[in-house]
Amino acid sequence: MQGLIALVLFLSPFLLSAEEEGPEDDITAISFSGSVGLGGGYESDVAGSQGLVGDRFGAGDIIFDLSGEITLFEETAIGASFLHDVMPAYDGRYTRMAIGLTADWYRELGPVEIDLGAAGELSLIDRFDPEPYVGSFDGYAELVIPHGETLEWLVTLTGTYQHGLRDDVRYLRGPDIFLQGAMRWHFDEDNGLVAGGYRAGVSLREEAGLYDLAGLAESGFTALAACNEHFEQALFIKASYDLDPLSFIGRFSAIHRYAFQKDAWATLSERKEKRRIELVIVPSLEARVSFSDSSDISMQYDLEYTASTIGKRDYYDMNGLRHTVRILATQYF
Amino acid sequence: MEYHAAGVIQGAFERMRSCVAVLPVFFVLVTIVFPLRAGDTLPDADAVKPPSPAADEVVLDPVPTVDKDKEEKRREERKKERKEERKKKQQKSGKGKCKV
Repeated sequence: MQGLIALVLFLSPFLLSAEEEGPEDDITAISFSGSVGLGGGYESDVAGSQGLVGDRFGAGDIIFDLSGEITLFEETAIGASFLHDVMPAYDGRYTRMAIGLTADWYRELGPVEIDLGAAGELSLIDRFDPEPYVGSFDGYAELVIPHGETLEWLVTLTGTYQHGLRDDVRYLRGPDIFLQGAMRWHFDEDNGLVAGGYRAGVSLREEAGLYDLAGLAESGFTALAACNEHFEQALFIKASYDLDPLSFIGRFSAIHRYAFQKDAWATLSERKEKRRIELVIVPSLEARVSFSDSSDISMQYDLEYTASTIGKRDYYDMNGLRHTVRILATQYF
Repeated sequence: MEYHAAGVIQGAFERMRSCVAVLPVFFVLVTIVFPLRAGDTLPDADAVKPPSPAADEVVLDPVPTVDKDKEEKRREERKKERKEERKKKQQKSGKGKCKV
C-alpha cells in the first residue's frame, strides 16, 4: 500500500500538468477507471490445490476485489489491485490477500497494434497472521493483426518470474516463458466472438523435497526429489455471445505437460522413479447479467480434470476432478 | 548421464534465468520511453490531407477495414479479458502449491 501511495505521489505533478494543458484534439489526457467486486464460491478439492496429502474435500470462500487504473493519453494504463479471499476451512490458514501493480501500453503501428504490459504481485497468506507467501512479476508483448473486418490474429510472448517467500514454498522459484498464437472472429455486429489458439513454453521451478509436501514424511516416505521443470503446450477455445442484458461465455482448454526429469522417491521398503506427464482438460461456462453499463453479476462454473502418470501407487495422487463454482457482483466506475 | 533434447532445452533455459531478471527493467523502460517517443511521432491533426482521386482515375475497391468504434470496443474487450486472466491467476497463485 505504501508503494501505491508513493507511485501516486510520484506521478501526481505529471498528471496534474497533463490535465491543466487540456486536450488539443480528441485524445483524453487522463482518465480513471476501476471496479469493486464482492462474491463467493465453492471448490470441491481444496486439499489438492493446497498441495496437502489427505482426503479430498470441498470448501467455500468469500472474495472481495478492488482495482483502479489511470489511463494516460489513451495509450498507457497504470493500475493497482487488491484481492481478499477469505476461506474459513482449515481454520482460515489459506485465507489470502494479493496486492498487485500493473502497467499496460498500446500503440497502433499502421494496421497492426502492439500491446506491452507488466504486472508485479505480492500475495500474503493466513487469516490471523498474514505473512508474505509468493511474489511474482510477469510481462507480455502482443501483436494484434487485423484481417478484414471480422478477423484478428494475435501473437503473444509472455514471461513470468515467481518467487516463493515462505519456507514451505521456497522451492517455487523460477521463470515461465510462453509463446502463443491465437485467432479471434467477431460476428453478428460484434455481439458474438469465437477465439482459439495454441500456446507452448517452459515452466522452470526448483526441485521439491520430502518436506515440501505437507504430510508426506508422516505417511512413511523417506525421500523425494520431484522435478518442477516442464514443457507445456495448450490448445484453447472460447465462444461468447451478448444478448443484452445477458452474456454467455464458454471456454475449453486442453493442457499437456512433460517434465524434463523423472521424479524419484523412497519408502523404507522401495525406491521408485517416474516421469511426470499430465493432461489437463478445463471446460468452463459463465453467464453474466448486466444491470447497467457499470454493474453486473457473473456466475461461473469450472471443471478441471487432470490425468497424470503420478497416481495412487506413487508418492501423491495427482489425478482427479475439481469443480469450482463462483458468483461475483461487480460495480465499475 | 542421460543426454537428450529435453536436457538441452532445460540447460538453455537454466542460463536464461538471469535474463528473466532483466524483464522488469525492460518493461519499465518500455512503458516510460515509448509513450514519450509516441508523442513525437503522432500524426499532426492539421496535416494536409491527400488529394482526392480525379474523376477519371481508376480506384480499386478498398480493403475492408474496421471502423474506429469497433476497434476501440475490441481493444476494451481484450483489456477486460487480460484483467480477468490476471484476476484468475491471483486467485490461483497464492492459494497454495499448484505445483508439487
